[in-house]
Amino acid sequence: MSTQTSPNGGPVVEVRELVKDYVTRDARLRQHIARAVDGVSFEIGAGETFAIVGESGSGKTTVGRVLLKLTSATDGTVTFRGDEILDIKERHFRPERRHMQMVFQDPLAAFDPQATIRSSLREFTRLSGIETRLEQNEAIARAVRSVGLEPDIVDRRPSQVSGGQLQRLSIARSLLPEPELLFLDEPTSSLDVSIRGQIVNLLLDLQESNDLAYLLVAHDLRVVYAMAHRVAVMYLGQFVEVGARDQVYANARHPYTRGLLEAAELDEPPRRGDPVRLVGEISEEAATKPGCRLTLRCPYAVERCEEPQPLRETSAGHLVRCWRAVEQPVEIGLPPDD
Amino acid sequence: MSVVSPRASGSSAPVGRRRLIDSARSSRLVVAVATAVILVVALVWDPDWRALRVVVSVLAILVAPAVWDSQRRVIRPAVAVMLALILMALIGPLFTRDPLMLSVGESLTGPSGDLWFGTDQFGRDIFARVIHGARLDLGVGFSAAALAVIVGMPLGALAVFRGGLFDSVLLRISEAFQSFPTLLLALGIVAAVGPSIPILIFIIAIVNVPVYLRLTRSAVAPIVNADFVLAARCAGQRELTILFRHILPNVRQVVLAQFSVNVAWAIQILAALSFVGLGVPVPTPEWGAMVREGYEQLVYGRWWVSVFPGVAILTTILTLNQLSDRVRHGT
Repeated sequence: MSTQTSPNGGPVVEVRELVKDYVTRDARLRQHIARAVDGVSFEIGAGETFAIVGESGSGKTTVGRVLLKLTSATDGTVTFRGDEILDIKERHFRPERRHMQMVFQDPLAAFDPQATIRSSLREFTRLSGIETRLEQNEAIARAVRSVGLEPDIVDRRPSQVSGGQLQRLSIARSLLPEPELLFLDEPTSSLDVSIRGQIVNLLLDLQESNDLAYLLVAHDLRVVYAMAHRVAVMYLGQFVEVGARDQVYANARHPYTRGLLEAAELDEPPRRGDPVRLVGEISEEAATKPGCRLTLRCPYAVERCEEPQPLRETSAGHLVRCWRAVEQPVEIGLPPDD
Repeated sequence: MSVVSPRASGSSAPVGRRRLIDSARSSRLVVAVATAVILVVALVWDPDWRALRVVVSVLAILVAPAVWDSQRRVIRPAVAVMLALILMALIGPLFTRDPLMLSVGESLTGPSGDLWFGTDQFGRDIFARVIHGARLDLGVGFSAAALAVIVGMPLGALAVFRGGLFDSVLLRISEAFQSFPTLLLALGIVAAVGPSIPILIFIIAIVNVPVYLRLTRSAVAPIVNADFVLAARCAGQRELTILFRHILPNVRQVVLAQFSVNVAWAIQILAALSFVGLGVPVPTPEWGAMVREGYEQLVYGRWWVSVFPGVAILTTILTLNQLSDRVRHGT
């Protein structure tokens, strides 16, 4: 599926060469730079879900936080609704926040524990210019009904509501300002398996009825398969494979993607190519290497992999950061064609 | 977290009622802020402490319902004793003799039916002096601790918010203050400036500001990047709004627990300063000063002169510590 466009022509959000460094100082005041995001580019259209998958520590949540200007970027550009937003001062950007909202991983942490849910929700009605209490309460009731709950639940405190209900309320809250882009940061991973499906279906319904653009960050490949139109696989700050959902799931080219899919033991879709077993763990030291960062874990690594690896297109819209997957697919256990 | 109340379905009646409670909560906040403002004005302005008495009465009325623990259906003893002490300070002086009047009876007579706590070496009524002393000790204790909270708490939170140089400088200054023994520092300043009640309050507050600064700082640090703070930012709230609406209310309990210990410290410092003669000027009734005046009499067996004010100090401090414990454990 190709990029869909928003009514004004371009994609809702466009990210180009995004870089995020975290600078820390040790006891001797020496600087340590950890590059969490290293040159990431993508765009999301209205009604489209773009998913980023990867292990913990791959920098996927950081991408979303930078996108929402909750953390500063080191380099790169983010164009939202046609405007470059990274350079806008927070003071001027605040009114624009209504157009981009976030759903958090842990709903219990996302609500102020000492406030009622109503007052947490009320904050978000201000952005859309609803001033009177009565109208605010009506907007809150509508939003809460739209996620399938009874409005009087909002007079409880976060600790008095179940996790699944609270995540619904978190989604209701993020929809109150009527955003165009929703950043879903592992929206199901802190929930019981039995209610994950409900939340996924709810998010799909809401996307359809509001034409929302979703940035989905997750490591649950089943959830991503159910929700995403396009998928990017992230490893140590870089996208190693980007493509339409079926390109990535059924015809993974990068050994890392193949390893992830293998580990997830998905029943569908059927995969092509030999299974790949990754060894070892993600290590941040590899994030400073010029070449492929997976070499220590990859069964197909050879000397040339230490050279810089650009993202290369193997077929329309399918990008892979692995020279062997493009030039020697058969040698690394892939069918020759994409 | 998975508990859902049994009346989850449908009933719309409680909504209005709960909304009332919600507005009661915000009005309590207004009362608290107003109290703080009046307190500061009273300190700067009102030498007779009239405004302070009003404030303390308001506080007492607000605290009164907390005497009854409705969940366990028992009286909370610490709250009850504290309230009694406050009432004693507020209206007790109306029912006693003049604490300054000399030779109410003979000097140094023991406790009797007429003079409950006996008389001191000038023949003054010790009972009257203990009651009047409560006004001064509690007044100074509470206002010094309140002043320290009002200054220290926002500074501590701001230190985390701003970070960097602001944080470092603030921390170094507070470390400089804390590197002196509290009493010695207070002693030095009083010796330099001279004792008077507003100055005593000010000094006791100053030596306690670093306590709140550090306490608030360490309590705020783990939640300053919490998801609910990020959410508030997504809602387009300004930093100061986030600070006062989301962050400080969540560290309130920790600071409140420290507050009652701190009142006790303040009373101790005042008593200690008075004991060495640098506290309130004679002949003002103050517990610490009374203990000092009486301790020479102990060797002659005239225990009542310093024991009764001593018991008053002890009771107050124990009660405050107990209160602090209760607050910390949320009971």
